[in-house]
Amino acid sequence: MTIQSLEFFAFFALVLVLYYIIPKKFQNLLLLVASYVFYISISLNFALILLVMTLVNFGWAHYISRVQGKSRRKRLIIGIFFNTIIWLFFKLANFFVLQVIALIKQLGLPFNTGSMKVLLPIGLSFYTLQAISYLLDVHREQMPPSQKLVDFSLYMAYFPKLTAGPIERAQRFLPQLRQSRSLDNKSAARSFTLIIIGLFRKIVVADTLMAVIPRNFIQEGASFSLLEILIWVMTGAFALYNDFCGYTNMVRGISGFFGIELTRNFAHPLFARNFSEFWGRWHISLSSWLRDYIYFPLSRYLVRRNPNVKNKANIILPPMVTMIVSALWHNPQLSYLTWGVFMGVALAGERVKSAFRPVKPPSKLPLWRQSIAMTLTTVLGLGIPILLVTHFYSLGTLFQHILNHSPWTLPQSRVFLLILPGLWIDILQYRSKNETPFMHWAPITKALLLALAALGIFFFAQERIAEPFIYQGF
Amino acid sequence: VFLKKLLTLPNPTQRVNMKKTNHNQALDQPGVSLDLKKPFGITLLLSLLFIILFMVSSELLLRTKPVQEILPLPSVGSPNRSLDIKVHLLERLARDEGPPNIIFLGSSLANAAFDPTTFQVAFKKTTGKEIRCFNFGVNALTMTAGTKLANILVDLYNPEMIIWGVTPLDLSPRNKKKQLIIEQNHWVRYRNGEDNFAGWLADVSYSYRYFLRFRFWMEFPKLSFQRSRVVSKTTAYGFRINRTRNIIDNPVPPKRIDHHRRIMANVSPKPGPLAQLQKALAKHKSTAFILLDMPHHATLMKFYKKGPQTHQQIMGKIQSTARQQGAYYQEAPPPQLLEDRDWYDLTHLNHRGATKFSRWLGKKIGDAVNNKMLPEPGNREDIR
Repeated sequence: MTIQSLEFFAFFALVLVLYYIIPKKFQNLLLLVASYVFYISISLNFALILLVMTLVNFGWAHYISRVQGKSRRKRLIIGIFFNTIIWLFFKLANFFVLQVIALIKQLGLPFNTGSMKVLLPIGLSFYTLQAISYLLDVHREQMPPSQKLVDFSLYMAYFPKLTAGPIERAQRFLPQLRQSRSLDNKSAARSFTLIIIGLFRKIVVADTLMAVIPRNFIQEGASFSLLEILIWVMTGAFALYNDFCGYTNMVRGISGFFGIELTRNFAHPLFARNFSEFWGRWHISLSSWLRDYIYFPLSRYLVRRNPNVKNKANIILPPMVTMIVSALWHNPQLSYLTWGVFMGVALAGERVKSAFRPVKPPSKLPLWRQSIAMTLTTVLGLGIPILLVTHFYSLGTLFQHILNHSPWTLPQSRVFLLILPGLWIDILQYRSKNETPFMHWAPITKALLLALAALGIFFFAQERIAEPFIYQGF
Repeated sequence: VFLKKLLTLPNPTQRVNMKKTNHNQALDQPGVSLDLKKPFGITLLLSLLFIILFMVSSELLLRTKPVQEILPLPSVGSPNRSLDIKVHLLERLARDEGPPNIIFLGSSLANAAFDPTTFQVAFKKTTGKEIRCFNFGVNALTMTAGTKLANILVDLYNPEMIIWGVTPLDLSPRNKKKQLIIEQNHWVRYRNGEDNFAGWLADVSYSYRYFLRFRFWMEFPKLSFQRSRVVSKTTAYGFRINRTRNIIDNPVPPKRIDHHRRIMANVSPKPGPLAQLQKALAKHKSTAFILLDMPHHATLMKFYKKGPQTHQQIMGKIQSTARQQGAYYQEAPPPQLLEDRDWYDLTHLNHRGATKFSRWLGKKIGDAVNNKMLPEPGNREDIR
């Protein structure tokens, strides 16, 4: 059951109807049951892992809160270690299992290796971070441990965000469950608009762009020019953005119908004018998690040790470590690590610049410089990671082709037909500073746009089997 | 400022005063209530009206002849270019002239070999009957996929005869992926009785068919271009003209010959496709099925595992299946009918070969009709 499938929407509709029929005091319980039904429909084993992690973290937070001083810190470290070790086991197990299988085959041992595979539970990376942030917040006394198992379990398992985030914070999520709130016309229209934008971005833009990109265009680079490779890379980046942003829009819209506001994950990253801005706009729930629990604590620690602003370690280490952790969270592989180092260097470079002379904020720069900065940041912030992550081992071939090929052929213009509607949504959102700018349009224009979007989604969804969201793989 | 901010985080004011606020304490009536006020759903209703308006007007417009002539041929969503082309050319023939009496079915071999116009002339000369024929040869068509298309053709046009050009290669597909492209097409599945929404949509909606054509152009621009070129060289009766190349002036490259050798050596009769054929023949009694052994270039015959013996053995099985179900079996033309100048390559005939072969076939089928071995076509009221 993928989030954009018809089955999921039928499931959502059923839960929604029940949600508003049953007494309010059972609403959270219903959402919890629905979340586990949804997860079990993917895999019972995954649901069991989530249950174990929920129970352990729920109990452990109380255990942490009971003491103070060094014992409290020790308990926190054990809690973080528990979560990390489970996450690492599943992230790395398959890699090691493949090595064992290769060894068994090489030695010619009579073992059946067919069933030897460890599947990464969908959403594990996301709810592990939620669990860790919860323990940290309790430890820092920023919130007391949750007294309600149902609420905490829902925080961990809430089905709209279970498979690929946004990574919620207990401080923001749990109080919502204890509040009295209502679904009025405005919030219903906003949620519905978010779902439509999400579906459009995913089905019409992202999936079609993915299908249009030539397979192995770098390995077969002989037939592609430098400009073509660049455009295909950026097409891939744009598809990834629309895929993930579309997913986030959808889950936020779905959640809005249950009266629960999920964290915004994207704030027009294509309009970022430097890397710091980019990371404040891209996958916000992850980057703010990394900022609050890695970047700031590490910076504080370093500054306390050496309060010199121009100290190299103070400038370079925090962004570097943060981006490396971010890369390893995505996938503990060399290609991702390289991407992390690249991003760390880029962010550190910006910090070095600002440490030695005053830097104008990007919004104060002339428009032409802002435009160049936006293009460069998008190409380097999105294109290079895509290239590093997907084609890490064929980069040598790529550079060879670039050197040997005439650089001025363009791919067919058909790609832009798909990029433009996605970009148009971004421009509208950016200019109006509103996620759902269409809501303020005249009813007739809104209806016409909705009709076109619905027809597009309907037609594009028919011929293709629902593609899973890219971020569900992490 | 940055340092100050950094050193003061987490901001003590943000810390929870545990005594004053209790995060777990329920506020008044926790939970969500519905607070929708009338009017609501106006935009939804309006957009629904727009959708209906758009669909109805586009359906009407896209079905008109002038619009269809401007636009490229629509698609039923198959990357197999000849399937899409044949489906729509046949549909237009049925609309403009009426449904065909005889449909030729088969793979690319049949596509290249059956010239409906030449066949019609030869048939008229033999029987005196005027008929209309269509070449529904589809590239990479296997016997299993062929039975599915035969079901569709009988269901949609109920022709009096289907002449199905078969070869041993059809039983042992060369390319599983190409075979599945036809079998797994939503429209083919829907027309074969499967509940398939996308297939139904492709069946009833021209807007959707043109959308599929757009989608095809997006995903396969090169194939899309080739498709348009093929359409321009195909007659209204489904025959591709101007294939003038021959293997004397353009000898087959040794690599290609090796490729044929490898494929032919692995050809063997599979029971699955034969069972499918049997089922299809048993199902359609209103249409006379003629299974025709397609002409083979002499070089290819040697490449079978046991030479011509393998060919005869497999065709014998097809023949017995046809006879069991009351279908007519037609032997291949004598080898001397076609010379090297008649072959486009080792498997396909060129225009000259197709003319010779179709003339021969028209006479053969005409003779069979005259001898009452086949029902006389051109008598059915619904096809006139």
